[in-house]
Amino acid sequence: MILILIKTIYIIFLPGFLISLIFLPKIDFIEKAAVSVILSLTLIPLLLIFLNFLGIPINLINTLVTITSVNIIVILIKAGCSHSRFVGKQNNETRD
Amino acid sequence: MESKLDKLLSNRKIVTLVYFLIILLATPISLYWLVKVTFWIFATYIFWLVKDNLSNKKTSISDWWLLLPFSILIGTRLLPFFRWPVMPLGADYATYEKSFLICSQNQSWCPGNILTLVNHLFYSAGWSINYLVPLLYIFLNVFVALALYIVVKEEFNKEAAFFSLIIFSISSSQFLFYWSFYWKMMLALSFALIALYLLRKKSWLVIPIVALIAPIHPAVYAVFVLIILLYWFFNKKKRFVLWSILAIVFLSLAIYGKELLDLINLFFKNSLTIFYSNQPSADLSGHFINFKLYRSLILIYLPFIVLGFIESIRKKKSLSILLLIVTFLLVISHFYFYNRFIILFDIAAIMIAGPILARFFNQLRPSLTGKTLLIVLLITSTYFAFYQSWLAEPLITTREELVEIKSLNELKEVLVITDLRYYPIINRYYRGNFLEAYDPESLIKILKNEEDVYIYIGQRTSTLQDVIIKKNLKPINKHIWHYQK
Repeated sequence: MILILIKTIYIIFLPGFLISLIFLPKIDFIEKAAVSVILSLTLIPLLLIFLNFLGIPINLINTLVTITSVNIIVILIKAGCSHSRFVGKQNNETRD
Repeated sequence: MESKLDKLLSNRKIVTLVYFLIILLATPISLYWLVKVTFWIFATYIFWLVKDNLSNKKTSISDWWLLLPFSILIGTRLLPFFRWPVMPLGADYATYEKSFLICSQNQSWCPGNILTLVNHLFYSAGWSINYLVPLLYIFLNVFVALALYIVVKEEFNKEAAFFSLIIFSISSSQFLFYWSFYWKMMLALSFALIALYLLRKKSWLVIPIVALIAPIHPAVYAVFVLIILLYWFFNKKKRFVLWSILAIVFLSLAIYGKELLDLINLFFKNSLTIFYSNQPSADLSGHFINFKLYRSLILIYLPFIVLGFIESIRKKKSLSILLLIVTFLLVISHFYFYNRFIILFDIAAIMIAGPILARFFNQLRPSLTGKTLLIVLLITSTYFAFYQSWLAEPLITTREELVEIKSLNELKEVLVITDLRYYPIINRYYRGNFLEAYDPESLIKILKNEEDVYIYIGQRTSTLQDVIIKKNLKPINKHIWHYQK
């Protein structure tokens, strides 16, 4: 039961949540929760459709690999954005 | 044009006239006179109380208060599952159960069935079919409420959003929508509400969400594309909306193009059939309550809707007003599926009624009498919501009937079903061929042609006693009859 819950959060919530951190950073928790679920339920199926057009079959392994890849890519983008903002802030402070 | 409308709606006499005119027109004529008069007094009282926008006091509502509407919502939605564990909700329960079973066995994607992909995510998380159908459906309904909350919060304010949620949780029409088990529409509606929120936030994420509504529920997709188009038309400066709409149409045509064009053709063809027929079939009207019955169900919040309508026009809350007007026009002009658009109309109505209910609450809250009245109103409406949930009956009533239907698979002869309400259950559990005869004449015709048939006459079929006697049908058990030439 706990495993299903963790898997559900990983598949149905986490991808959307990470994407919303980039596109909608300044929203409250309730809004973020709602948007995260819908984003996961739309963007992952759309990506699977696209991969299916490229000849990659839709199955459990491919789905989990896709979700994990999306999560890693989004985390890297978010880390990149935060890092450049941090560097920019430090440069400004040095100039001041 | 807009300033003229503003001037008109600032005039108290005109607002009073418009309010009472809409209230009179919206009151169902067939309503019992005492109920009618009570409703008019109630509507007059609400108008008198909130007309002047006296209260600018804002109540800060803690997020914990959200537990109240969500508890009512979850309680009323769960009750049918405890009362009728075998087949808790309307006809489509068994249909979806079967289609999800097929989806779980065959996971290849086809454009006509996007649900395969959404379900695929849940199967990947380890959900079994037995839990997926009921739990996911309840989750979706709660999610629609949550989406409604954040849209109203974005369009109006947090207080209005809370009161919209209260109306949603006690709404009789929303319960009927839930009971009917319109799974696809429920999913599409949750997507559409989040899309409205993202549109207000000017986020490009609105594009994939609206595009994916097309294969899930084309009717909801059409309404929301039309609304976004009108939103752009009345706010031409918003170039973001224009680019979004173009991208949405392009993306939806790319993933669902051919089917979408066929559906547009079907929409106009069936709409024409409705215009030329006096009494359109349920297939054409959308298998939902009609507008006349709907008006009787919303009497408790109708005055708030009318005042909210006037207020939203005055404050230019364009998205909710556009949703209300577009769906209203679709319902009254009897386009294909017109009764189903009542659900979307009701959502828009709840959205605009929220701020007025909030004002009503603020006016009454300071005095003890006001507090008492508010508590009485909340308790009464909650009681009615639970009572409706308690009364809601599934289309198949007993565990015994389901066991009988499953046992039919041992028969090798043809089976005849005699009530449309049993079609989804027979289709779900019966593996052989079956014929349909929904009136005595059709049954007699089938019996003339067949040598050896079994007839399923469920608890809900009451018009076939004459045929049973006339054709000398032999009972196999309580509901199955045998006919042999």
